[in-house]
Amino acid sequence: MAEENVLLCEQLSHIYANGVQALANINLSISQGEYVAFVGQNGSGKTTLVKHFNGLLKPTQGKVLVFGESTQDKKVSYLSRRVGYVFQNPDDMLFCSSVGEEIAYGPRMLGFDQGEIDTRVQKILTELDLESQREIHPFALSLGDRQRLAVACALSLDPQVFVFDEPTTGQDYFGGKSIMMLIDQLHAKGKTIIIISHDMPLVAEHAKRVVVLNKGQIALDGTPETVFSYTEKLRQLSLRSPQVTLLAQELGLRDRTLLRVPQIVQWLEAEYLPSPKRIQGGQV
Amino acid sequence: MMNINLKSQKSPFQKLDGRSKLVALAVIFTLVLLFSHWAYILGLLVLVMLIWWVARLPFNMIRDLFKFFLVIAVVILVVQIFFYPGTTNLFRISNPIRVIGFSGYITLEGILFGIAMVLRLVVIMIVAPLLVMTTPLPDLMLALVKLKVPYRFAFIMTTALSLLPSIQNHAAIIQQAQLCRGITYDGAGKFFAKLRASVALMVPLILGTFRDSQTLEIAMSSRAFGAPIKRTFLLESHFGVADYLILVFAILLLVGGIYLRARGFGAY
Repeated sequence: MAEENVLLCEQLSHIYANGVQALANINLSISQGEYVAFVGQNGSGKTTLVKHFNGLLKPTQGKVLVFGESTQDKKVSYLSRRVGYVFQNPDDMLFCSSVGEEIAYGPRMLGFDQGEIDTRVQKILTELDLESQREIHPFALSLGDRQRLAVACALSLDPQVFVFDEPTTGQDYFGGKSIMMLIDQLHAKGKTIIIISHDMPLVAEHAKRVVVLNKGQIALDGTPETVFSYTEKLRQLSLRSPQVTLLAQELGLRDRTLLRVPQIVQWLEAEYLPSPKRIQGGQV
Repeated sequence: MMNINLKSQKSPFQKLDGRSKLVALAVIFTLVLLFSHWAYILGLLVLVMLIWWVARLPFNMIRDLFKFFLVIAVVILVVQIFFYPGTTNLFRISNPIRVIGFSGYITLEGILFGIAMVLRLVVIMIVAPLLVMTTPLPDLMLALVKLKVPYRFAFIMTTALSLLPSIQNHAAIIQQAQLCRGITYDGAGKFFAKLRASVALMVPLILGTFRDSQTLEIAMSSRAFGAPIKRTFLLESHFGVADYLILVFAILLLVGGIYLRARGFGAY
């Protein structure tokens, strides 16, 4: 993985017009190809922080650099070619009369020629399995497909970094899985992924780095294994490690943190089921 | 975006009963429509500004509101200057254009009438916020009901007002979402680009508002809204001395205004 910083926050603070301080002295760097999840209770500053990454919000103190450029004097339309942002509610992003038009809108706004627009739209429709719905009105799609379309809209500007604000909210299990698979695919292609989520098992399963925010400051920052090992600290911050992690801790595992069901099954088998014969004999 | 929730501040105006505020502001509203002479409307504007000051509302809000209505104000001013049939010609700017009723002259009466209409717009513009920003919505609804406004109508009116901040917030979120898609709202005078941007804003906003309204309707129905019973209210309104004084003053103002107008004053 390349080590180039795609996002850098230096002493970043943000105070809203009503006087509320949402961020205080954030120092953070995110490298190319990272998969970062921001977690924290409501009002901790997650959304405020990520809205600085594409210039939707400007620092009131400190600075944010995107690919080495300060966001302070850059327009969102310029930064959106580098940092794509997918909102929690896809319906806030959609307004065109067909799926194809919706995807073409961003590149058209940025002045791409028609040939380039057509190529991009076709590529994205194929990649996101939306080809059959090209002429359909966006609001005739299911919520899951509207969320995919919102991702497609961000993808049409071909950014290197994607920000997803609670991508699975309101989705059923399979809808959520489908979106997360899509995000994982983007990551596998080398895109830098930033997600905001309250879903700790989802974060544990997908993210490679977890940043916990509390009262506008970074409380924890590390791999999911590291962050979710601080069970008590997380509890103080009104967060909860995944149930799998807590179960493993309750069962006495102290030297490492387990995040996924297969891990705990593997550990239990290794710890308590040394011989397959014992299972067959029903002695466990 | 303008913050319309200032009800937590306490001022003598805020402490008034909703009914006296409603009546007083309705009188001002009526008078400003009754008069068309700039001096009379200016007098009403001074009165409203005085109330604004007593209510401790920020004056920069008037500036923000005026900015919002600036285009309309300019159109009103220009139209009146050009088309008001005045008698005191100041200067000639073209030959008469009879098809559109333009005499070719700019007249003193046209300018003064244009100014009067702009002042009228300003008064109307700042009267409504005076009520909404100084009266908690439950108090406003109670005032309307006590003034014998049908409960359903009062509820619809106050609900619409209560939805305004959430619509404002939603509009801001949609605007941000559209910015992320490459739309610019601050382009240098590109009219059609701005028109396209406004479509991008309005479609999700209107659809979202419809959806919210449907949800609200279901929530209301599930909580027995419209049940045929006699309603009682948790809140009680108290009509104090200040309220009676305001009421008397408002009635005198209305009667005086109608009398003056009937005698031919206050109009061109």
